[in-house]
Amino acid sequence: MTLQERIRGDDIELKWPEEGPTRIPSWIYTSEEIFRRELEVFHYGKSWNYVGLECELPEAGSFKRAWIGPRSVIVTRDENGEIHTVENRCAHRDSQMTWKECGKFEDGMIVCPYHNWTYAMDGSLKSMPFFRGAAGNPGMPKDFDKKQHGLVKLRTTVRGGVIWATYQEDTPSFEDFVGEGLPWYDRLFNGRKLKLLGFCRQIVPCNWKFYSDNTHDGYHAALLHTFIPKFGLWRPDGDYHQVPTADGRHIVYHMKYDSGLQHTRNEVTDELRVLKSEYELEDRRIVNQHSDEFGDSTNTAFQVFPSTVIQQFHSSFSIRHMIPKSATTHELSWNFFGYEDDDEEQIKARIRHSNLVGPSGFISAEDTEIIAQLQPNVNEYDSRHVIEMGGKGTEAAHTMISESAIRAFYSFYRKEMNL
Amino acid sequence: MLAEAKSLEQQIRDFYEEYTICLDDADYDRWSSYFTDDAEYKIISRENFDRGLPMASMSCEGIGMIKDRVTALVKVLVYEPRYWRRYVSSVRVKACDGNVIKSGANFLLYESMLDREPQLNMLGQYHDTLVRDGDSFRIKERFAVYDNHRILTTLFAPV
Repeated sequence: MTLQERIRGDDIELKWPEEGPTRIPSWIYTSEEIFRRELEVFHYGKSWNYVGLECELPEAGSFKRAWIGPRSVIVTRDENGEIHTVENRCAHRDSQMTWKECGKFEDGMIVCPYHNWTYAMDGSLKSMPFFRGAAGNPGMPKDFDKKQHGLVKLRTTVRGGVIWATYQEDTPSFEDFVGEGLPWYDRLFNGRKLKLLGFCRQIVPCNWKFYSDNTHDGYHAALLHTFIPKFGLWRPDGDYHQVPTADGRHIVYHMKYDSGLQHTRNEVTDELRVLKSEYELEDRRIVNQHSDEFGDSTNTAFQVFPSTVIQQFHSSFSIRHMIPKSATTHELSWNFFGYEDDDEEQIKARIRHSNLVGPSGFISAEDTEIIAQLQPNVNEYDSRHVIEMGGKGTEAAHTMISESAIRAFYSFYRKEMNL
Repeated sequence: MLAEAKSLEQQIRDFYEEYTICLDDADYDRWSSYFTDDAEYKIISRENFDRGLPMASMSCEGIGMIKDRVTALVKVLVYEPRYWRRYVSSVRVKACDGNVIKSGANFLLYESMLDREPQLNMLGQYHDTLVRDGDSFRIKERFAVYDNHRILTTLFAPV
């Protein structure tokens, strides 16, 4: 039976439950076939994938390595300032062209370490040793056409200092792909030059969609995480919005920060077990706002599917890069940044607030800890996850206590995956 | 002179041993007493450290934030129970100027969960600035630089 036959539902095992998006079958988190299909449909399909920040390529010859699912790519800047994305894979023998995270290619040429095939920054094959032979060695055949043997090149676009790449010629423009959430993207990437502050990377033993789902899931945020409700970062009784966009492909979260909220108690907070925990912080700078940079006192998270969640949490800015490695493993790479003209105090605040997120984050570490624990159970049980909080609809929710964004996403997912 | 330098190295080795025992015993309330009030404490990737990028997985500015890490670890955060054990070796004194000492060591952090085999969580080097405090020292600055490219799942434990 072919994969297409199976995902059409010819195999009863991979048939989506009749209830629709209020049920998620556990096999989407375990099946190798589903995993390969996701990569084809999403990452290698008509999607824009995050590959880096423009400021990581300061000059001609600069490069950085990035990942699109299990595939390694190199992002380069040529002598005209143009940015290219090519696969990190020699056209000759699949050798990796670079093993470094970043650097500068000498003379603006990418040279394979194996047989020294040499490519320009846009991936076109320029030369190789002994191309025309030497001292009686015949070299390559006369009909070898270098133009046919470049590195695989991806379409690349830059918006607001962030670099995106797609495998497909007919992927819509980045702006159309992002859709109605674009103003939230532009709020952070508003033309001010970006400054890279560093990476925190995690390798996580579970399916990558558990991470994606978790960011669609406002419901857990005040129940699993103590820091969120206790310090009034977001509260179920606060101003909170989860808005599926582009037919459920992406999701925008935005919530007003109200420092007074942490002191209020009501019938909503009575439901929050985590608020019963008695403790205080010695240094509240980690949870208090440093400055209201956008004049709207708002914290945001924008999942631009399939590769990123773009987050602004007080002064901490990050692109959380979701990198599927296998059906049961993903990397989560936090790309932290600020603005080039930030003063020293602002940078300190960005680093301080980043203690809330990342692999050790007072909030985010709990997310990864929990989702890693789901994998052994979905491996074992053919279960159906029940997604009914807030009803059965897929509309935007203006409360944390709703799973409508998950339902919206899986409505989109089923359509794209033909499930 | 050589004997004196050796003696300082031995004292610092003893200090690192005490510190490690304190953490391995989960004596977290005492852990903060190893730091000066204005201490800077970071657990940072080799990648960021070598490139001069300031972001770290854990960043504490001063003793208050160090104590808050303990509060979170002991009273707040949700994580799978486990035992942590640290191994410190190759202690070195890099510079000594009066009461201020630049020192370093290698570290390993192992974790043992309750239902599976122990695993290495992190390995790397300490880059420290110590100040003398009577017969012992306090840490004024610690960069715990981990060599593993990625954190294995999560990092809750201080090192």
